[in-house]
Amino acid sequence: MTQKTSKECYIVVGAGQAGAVAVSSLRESGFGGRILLVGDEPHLPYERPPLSKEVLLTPATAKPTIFDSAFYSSQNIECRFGIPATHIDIHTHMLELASGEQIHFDKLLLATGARARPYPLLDALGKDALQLRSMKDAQALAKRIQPGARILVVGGGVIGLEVAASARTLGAEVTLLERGDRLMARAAPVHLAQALLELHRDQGVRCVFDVDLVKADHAANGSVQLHSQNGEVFVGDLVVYGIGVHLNVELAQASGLKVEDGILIDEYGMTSAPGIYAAGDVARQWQPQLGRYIRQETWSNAQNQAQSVVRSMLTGLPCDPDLPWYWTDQYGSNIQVAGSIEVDEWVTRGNRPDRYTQFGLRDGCVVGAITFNNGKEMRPAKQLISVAAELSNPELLLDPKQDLRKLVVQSALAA
Amino acid sequence: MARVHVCSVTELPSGESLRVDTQPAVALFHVGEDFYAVADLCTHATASISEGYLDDHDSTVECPIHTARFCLKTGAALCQPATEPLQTFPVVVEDGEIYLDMPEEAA
Repeated sequence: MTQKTSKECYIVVGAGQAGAVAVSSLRESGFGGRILLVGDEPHLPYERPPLSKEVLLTPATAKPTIFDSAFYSSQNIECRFGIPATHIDIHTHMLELASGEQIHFDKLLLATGARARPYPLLDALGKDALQLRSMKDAQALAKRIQPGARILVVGGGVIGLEVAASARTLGAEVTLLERGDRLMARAAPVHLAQALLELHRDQGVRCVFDVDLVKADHAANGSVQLHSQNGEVFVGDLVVYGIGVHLNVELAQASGLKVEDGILIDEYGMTSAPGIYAAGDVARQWQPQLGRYIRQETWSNAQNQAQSVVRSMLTGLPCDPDLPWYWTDQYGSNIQVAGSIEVDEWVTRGNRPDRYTQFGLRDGCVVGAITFNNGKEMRPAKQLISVAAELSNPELLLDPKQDLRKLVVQSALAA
Repeated sequence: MARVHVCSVTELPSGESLRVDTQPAVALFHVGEDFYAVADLCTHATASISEGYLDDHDSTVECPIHTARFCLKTGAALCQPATEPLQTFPVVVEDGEIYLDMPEEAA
């Protein structure tokens, strides 16, 4: 790439997935001005998905760091890690850091992400209640998961399930407590939640639903006790909870940016203040095709929205709509979900219970997809979703002996 | 080098891939007239490259888990999230049979 020299200064606040991708994309796209990456954690930016998996299961070989430190210096990206940003003057374009440093910027991208939503009832247990959001959290948790340890996981979302799977794989006794009546209520359709429940039960995890916790304390012998509304008591050595996130919007709010369940951004990624943008978990973006704002808490959104908004910052072009997509790894099974889960029906391709692809249909068109240990088919499935392909030839498309990739390529050629 | 027999050419049609249980495991691809062997374990995270999405127009493979792309000829990582290349291995085709030349300390 040719590097255009520029006297402009672009700052990215928030050094997670979105922030690291943003600064690397700026350079990759030829921006030759000053780039600063500011984050409140002391580490180099790292990916979060491994925190509930590889960092717990194989800490010695887990490598969640996105780029090594040499990358930032070779790309001439100035880093301020471990230093929170304290104020943005949206009129004079000055950023202030906790160190007292003040920096003038031409454009600024907020990628401040989210933190684990606290659960005060459980936090009262002190060191016996852990949450999982940061590297520090994961390292603390890794030390406590031992064979035979009794782990109480609170929350049946992706984090809770992955922690349960990792802990069980490491030989811990795991009880998972969920307030609702099913797993993954937000992100997965009922039948997939059921398949995951069976997977966990087969592995020996006890899953209990409709658990409304009213008290948490220690027994005389030091065990943790969680008391539910109906009088049931769950006993363990450690509680790990994953009950959602709290968005890091305080800086944006205090600086006068418009915030409503996330920092509001337009289709260019710009906030309510000119020259100030946002991306990742914290950003809620206007989708002109849908006529509403969308916020996503996924790795792929952090990655793709950061790239897309950087392109807008440099070229003024609107962002491309990004297809929602996430994956989860539990007991060696890889499950991926793309597009919408609000569908009329799911149809299945494949006849093995542990390996299949499903298409979610609305008005006969493919709007969602699930791959269960079948990641190979996610890319062609996404292509079908992106054109809302009509399921005109189901016997062919649902025949696992047919190569889905070739079918999609052929149908694209025919169309 | 240690030569490892994989399968016959007829067992791996063009456009398809398979995982070979060598040490390290290898992902073998057949693209038109060519065969490519790369390390099966993605350099970014735990994922099997032989399960990846093969683009036979430019001989690249996309990781099935996080969509990093690699060049099959050189192993180079072409986009994030991967930043390190995949190791490549020589493929030999003799009398319709496919062999891998694995480094001695591996195989």
